[in-house]
Amino acid sequence: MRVTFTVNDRPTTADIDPGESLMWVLRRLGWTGVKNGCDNGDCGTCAVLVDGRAVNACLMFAAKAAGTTIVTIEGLGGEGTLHPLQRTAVDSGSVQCGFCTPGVLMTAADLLAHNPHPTEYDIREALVGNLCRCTGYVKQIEGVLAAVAAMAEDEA
Amino acid sequence: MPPPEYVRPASLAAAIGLLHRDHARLVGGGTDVILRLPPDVDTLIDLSDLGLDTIVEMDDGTYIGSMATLTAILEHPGLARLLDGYVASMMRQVGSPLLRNLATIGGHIARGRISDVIPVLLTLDARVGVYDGADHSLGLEEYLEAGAGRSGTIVTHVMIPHPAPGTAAEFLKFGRTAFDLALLNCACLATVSQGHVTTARVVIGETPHLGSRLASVERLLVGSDLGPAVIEDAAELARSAVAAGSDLRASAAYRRQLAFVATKRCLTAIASRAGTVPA
Amino acid sequence: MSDKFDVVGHSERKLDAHALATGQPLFVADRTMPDTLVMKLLRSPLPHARIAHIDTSRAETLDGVACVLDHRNTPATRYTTAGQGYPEPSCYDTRMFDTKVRFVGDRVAAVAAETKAIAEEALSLIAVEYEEIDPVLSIDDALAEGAPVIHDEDDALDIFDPARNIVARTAADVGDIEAGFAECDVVVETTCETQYTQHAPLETHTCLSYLDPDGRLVLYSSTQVPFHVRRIVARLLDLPVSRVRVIKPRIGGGFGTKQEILLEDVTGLATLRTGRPVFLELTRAEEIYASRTRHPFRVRVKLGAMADGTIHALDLEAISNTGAYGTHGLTVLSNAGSKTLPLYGRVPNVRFRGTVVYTNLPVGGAYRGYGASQACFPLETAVDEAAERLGIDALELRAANHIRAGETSPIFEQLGEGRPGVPMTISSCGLGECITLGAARIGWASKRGVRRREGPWVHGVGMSIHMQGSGIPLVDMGAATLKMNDDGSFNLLIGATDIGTGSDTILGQIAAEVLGVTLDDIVVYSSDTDMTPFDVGAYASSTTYVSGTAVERAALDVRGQVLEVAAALLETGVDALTVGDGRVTAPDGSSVTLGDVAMESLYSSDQHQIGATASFVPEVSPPPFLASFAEVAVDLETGRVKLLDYVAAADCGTAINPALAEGQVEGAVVQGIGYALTEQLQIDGRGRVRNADLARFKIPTTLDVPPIHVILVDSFDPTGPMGAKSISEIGINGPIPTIANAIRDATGVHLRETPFTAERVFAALVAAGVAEGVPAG
Repeated sequence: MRVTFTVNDRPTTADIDPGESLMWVLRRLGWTGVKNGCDNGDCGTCAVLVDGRAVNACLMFAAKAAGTTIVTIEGLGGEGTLHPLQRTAVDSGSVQCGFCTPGVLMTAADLLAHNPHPTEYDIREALVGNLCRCTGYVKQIEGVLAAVAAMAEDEA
Repeated sequence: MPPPEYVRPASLAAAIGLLHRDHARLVGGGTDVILRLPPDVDTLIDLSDLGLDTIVEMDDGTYIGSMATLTAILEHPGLARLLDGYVASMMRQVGSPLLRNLATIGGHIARGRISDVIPVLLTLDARVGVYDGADHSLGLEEYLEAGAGRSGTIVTHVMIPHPAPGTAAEFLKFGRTAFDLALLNCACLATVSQGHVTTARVVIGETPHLGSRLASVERLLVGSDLGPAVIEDAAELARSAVAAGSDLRASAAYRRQLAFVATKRCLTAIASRAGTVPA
Repeated sequence: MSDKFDVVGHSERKLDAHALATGQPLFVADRTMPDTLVMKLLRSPLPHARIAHIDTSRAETLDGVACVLDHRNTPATRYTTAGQGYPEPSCYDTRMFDTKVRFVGDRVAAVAAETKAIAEEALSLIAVEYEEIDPVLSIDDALAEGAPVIHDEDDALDIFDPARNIVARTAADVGDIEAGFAECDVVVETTCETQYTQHAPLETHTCLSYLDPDGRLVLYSSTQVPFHVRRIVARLLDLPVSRVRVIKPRIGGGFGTKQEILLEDVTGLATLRTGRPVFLELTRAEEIYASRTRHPFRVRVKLGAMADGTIHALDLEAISNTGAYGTHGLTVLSNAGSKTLPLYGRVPNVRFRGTVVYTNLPVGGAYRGYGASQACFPLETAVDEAAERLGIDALELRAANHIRAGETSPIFEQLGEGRPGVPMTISSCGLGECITLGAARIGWASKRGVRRREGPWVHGVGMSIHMQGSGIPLVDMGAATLKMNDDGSFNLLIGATDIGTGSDTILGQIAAEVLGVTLDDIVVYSSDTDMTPFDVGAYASSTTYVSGTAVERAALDVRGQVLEVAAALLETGVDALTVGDGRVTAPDGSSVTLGDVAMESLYSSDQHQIGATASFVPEVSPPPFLASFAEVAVDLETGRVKLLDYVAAADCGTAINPALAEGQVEGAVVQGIGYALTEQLQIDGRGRVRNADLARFKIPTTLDVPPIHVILVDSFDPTGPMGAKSISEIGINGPIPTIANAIRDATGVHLRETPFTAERVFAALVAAGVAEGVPAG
């Protein structure tokens, strides 16, 4: 079947298998920042924003995404710029192997869009479905907190 | 096997028509279906276009459309206030935000297994709206007993009645990590009037079976003062009454211990609030 | 620290962080090539069986299938999947496809097809007739009289005693152990068991193989050991090494599991057979049950001490279960002794005995901590027990007995990696300061032994101390090539393998420091066997120390060449020149930029390429040290252990990049916490892993970890590059004994089996009579 949606501001039409997940379709379309860590909804590496909310792309029928607006890590910062979350992730040392990083940042982007002033606990709660095996989460959380501060400064 | 057809019917009647095909599956959030897609499935019926995703506070309770996501329920201001955040605090422990942003309450209930949500809804005397060509409303307990998600029916909504004044409730979950299926969960609710329990609900789930009410414990509580001695007795009764089994997550013996502890802790928390705060 | 250096000792931004945070296609699976075949593996459903008959004809004729491989059409060469130095200290007991299967998940056949769906369908069309053999499902089963023989093939090499399922044995002796114990005032003994667990990198093993325009085989692989992959695959496929190229792009975590050749041989062979690219990516389930695991151990420790708190005798006996194949069997076992016993190097009487056995269970492999993680559990809990018996604070007992700089341990010489070790004097040891600072941070003095209650929760604090190594002396080798470009920048070419650790960055920092430039002036390219010099790869905590020294040497050589040219330009002698800020400066203040030097050497007079290659083989392996502390609360009614605070104070010598060094410790600690509390392969009576997904194999989440405070003490190792030692592994050893000791401080209960699940802790509390909320009687 054929579905149409917007990915990172690009109107996209894709031929898909009705049983296929959004993760595989986005990767096939070249958005390989959507990582396949488990294909089972357990690790969060495939998180993308669908109509503004972060979801496990591996658990969503691509067919269900018809008509939606999708943002992947490649589109998080917009053309040629970095999202504050990306900037602080780079500066905080939170990127080790980087395989979980896209999912973590997309999930954090959802959090900050709905709660611009989260506590550290709020951040930990938001990221509970984004497993990381490298960082022990310490610098990841610091990175998100730094982004919160940076965005608050931009507001002021 | 040809690929299934993925359809988004525009009416409940059309959806039911499609559901009569041999190997049709309903798609709410689809998070469960996509992982367990039978090879012979011929039709995937996505319920997104039926306007079933609203949450409305009504005179007799809170109406939750079956396509409301778990996140929508968690973030709904009215539900967040309900019984000191009873529903919201449970919902925060269900899966992860990435899952809750997709999973729907209707899909969750129709699945009828592995649930932190159902125990809480059972204590709230939630009702389920079902469509099978005509609209029906039945108690959640009745719905589950009849076999959740049985063929030819579509869950349209869940209705949570307003709790009586003097009601308090508490939910507790034991997991191995913070993102886990429960080793055991427990939802308790009590209404206290003039120092005595008038209504009690005690549900223990993931035993590893789906949560169900412990009627004997509830009977013990009704009429009591919900004091420490009663709570201890109720917890002991829960320990013996719970239908505990063993699986990879926990043994039956350990689950009995958890049932005791969870019941005691939930009821103790309720005793400190019930009858003192408006519902 | 940072005032000693300009680039080293600073938390420079990780070189690949920007590309990773913007989602660029940097991983193996992100690369697509036209006409790529997808490979899937058929795996054994049985733990132990002979393949009586295999029929692949229906799979072969399925439309879209390009290649089917099984034992009948693949090389019978015996090898080890362990990517170690040559000759590998692991036994040659593996075939690409064998006529016998030895664990649930063993390779039976492979299919390469046009699509994943076709490959999967083809697997279902392969008919295999098995002759079942009784499986060996535990250490005790393996050692039982008359146990089924797992490796009865006659062409395996270097198995110690295949008829008795014994892979390897090792031993070390210092002094007289029996006489030593007889002299002790206090003797404690404990036996601990550690579970099957797993690395669980977020990226599974992945490989894309293809032929280059010259028909050479290219393996684009998520490996920690590109040069070992090249050597081993060339031998297996009977190709000259010159016909194989291995490229490692970014990889999504390894922790040891990608020190194994699990995919490259089979995709490579399919590419040779079909002439087409072949892509193979393990599913998460395969990664869990069929890749590699941490060897489960049973370890008995007997520790004797004098009344004054001097540890006088130490006996450690380890049995390791390597599963179906002997990968890293002997060396992990040896490290169980060599990376623990020297910690108490002054002890005059020491005995170590070790045995590795085969079972029909998942296969062990290299995993961060590498034997030390398993053996430190009984050792460090025995130290606590001895302290209690002696009436001495457990911290004081450790502080009084641990090894110091200038001291040695005979164990260093006796236990090597599959061969005798290398004598070594400790060149730096900041462990004393680690203990002092860590204790202060956790509040040891005010919390130890207090057993503060909060409802059903009782609090306790625990500690343990640790060592690891910095590479394998006289075995590991790293090399680096530096060359200068027109603008005074440099290309740094290294075989070293960055697996997410940031080694590209820290090696670049070392080069920049020596050359007096910024990290931006160093262009780092690594891990491509055609383009970069040799390196053994990322394991044994070797990269900073071994590859780092190679980089330092190459940079010093290049620096000398730069000075020669600069001296000519400045018309002065070489000796008085200094480099810094991208310039070479003479004593009179005159200077030239490195760009001037480069342009001169490339285009003007005496034209030549400024550049050098250097290599380094260490003669010693200076241990990093760690003191680990935790505060826990134990729920006496449920056995749940809540981690409230964790401190890891480490001596890694100079931290080349403090943020990355901290990150190594933080990550290792959290893996260790999972190892201690929740992670375990749950295997049934038929050898099947029942929890082969991340929903049921429980690794810690953001909400499961306490605040983790990493302290890097001021330290400088005179043998290391810029004073550095290693840091990547050691942190993982801390949580098990630290948490066990904290639980004991809280409850008096000594746990002897990992993981410390709530149910297991509760059972121990009940057995000790300290559980609460249990029915009377």
